[in-house]
Amino acid sequence: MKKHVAVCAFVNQKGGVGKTTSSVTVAHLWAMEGRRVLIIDLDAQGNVADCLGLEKIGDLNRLLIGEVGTAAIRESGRDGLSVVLGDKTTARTRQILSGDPFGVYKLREVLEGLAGGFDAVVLDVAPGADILQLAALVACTAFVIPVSLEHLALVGVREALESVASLRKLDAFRGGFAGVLPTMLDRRIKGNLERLRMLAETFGRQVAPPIPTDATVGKAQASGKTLVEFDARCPALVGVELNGNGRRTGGYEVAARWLAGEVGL
Amino acid sequence: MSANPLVGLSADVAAVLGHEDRKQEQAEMPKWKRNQVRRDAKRLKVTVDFTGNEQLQERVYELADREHTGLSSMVMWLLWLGLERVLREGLTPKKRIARSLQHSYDVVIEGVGDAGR
Repeated sequence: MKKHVAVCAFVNQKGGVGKTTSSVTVAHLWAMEGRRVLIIDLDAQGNVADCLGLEKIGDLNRLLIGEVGTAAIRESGRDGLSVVLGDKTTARTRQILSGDPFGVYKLREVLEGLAGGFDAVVLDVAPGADILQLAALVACTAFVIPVSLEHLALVGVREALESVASLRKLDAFRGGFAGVLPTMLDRRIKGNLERLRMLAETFGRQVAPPIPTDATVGKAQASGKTLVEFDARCPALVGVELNGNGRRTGGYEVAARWLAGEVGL
Repeated sequence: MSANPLVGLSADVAAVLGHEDRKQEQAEMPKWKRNQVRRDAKRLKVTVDFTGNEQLQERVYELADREHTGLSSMVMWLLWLGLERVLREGLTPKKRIARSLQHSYDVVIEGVGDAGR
């Protein structure tokens, strides 16, 4: 029987909502639990390399266009976590795939060829609706939409769901909607809680444990370390205490466990 | 009876929204009612005094640290386990006549000493 590989895409057409932080942190937490995880950067900005303190290299171009296959996958320097990095050559990859009538299926084909080597593949998808986002949605077995509660990123949720709906019409989408991941929650700001309530009313139990806003995230990125490496006790990872009773709520640790359940890991 | 809108959400989302609802509810109460709620909430809190029981304190702290959980959660959990055992086995074997006028008995934990002064 073919081994189940969870391919999880982090998608939102809006930028700055925490897609890269979420995908890198979740991938690292899954790897720390003993899974073999591959993270693929589908963004020309190559921010996954920044978050992991690695040099930006055009691995994605080599993986999808250069016909080198698994040779494009490199170790991240963390146990169980491999990477396919992106850089400005990703823009060229996008152009080539756009000109190919079957370009949208390319990533799925490549990942099917890699199956067995990994328990999970995490796709960090660039903002905006382009061929790489569609290719990610076609390739994934589940997608999650990170939504910043700081600003009006809810529009991005609707757009991502519309992309999926149009792919379903083409019978190209085989994945499931894992849920919405609320990020940058600041409980002192009323608008944040109103947006969280709106998400809860719309998506019910498909709203993941929220991630509190935390200055540590920016500092970790600037230092080229993951959140776990930079500060394993920071609120974005372990959540916040609501009642002073020692019980913490939200944070990437519980969100990663929640998501693992949703994607069947 | 109106349906609870927080049912069917993941536990963490329900906790954040429920906490906010309670805060909002309290903010809308008259002052006397708000004070009453605060007083009632205080009655639900117990301070654990480890003075004279350093060994017990050390072991509880160590356990909380090892299990990556808050001290209050750990104490609450141990209390629950202890409660179940006491309800099952009774407290008589652990009792010693107290010298205090206020209480008839102290509770003695082996290897640690008096816990129920």
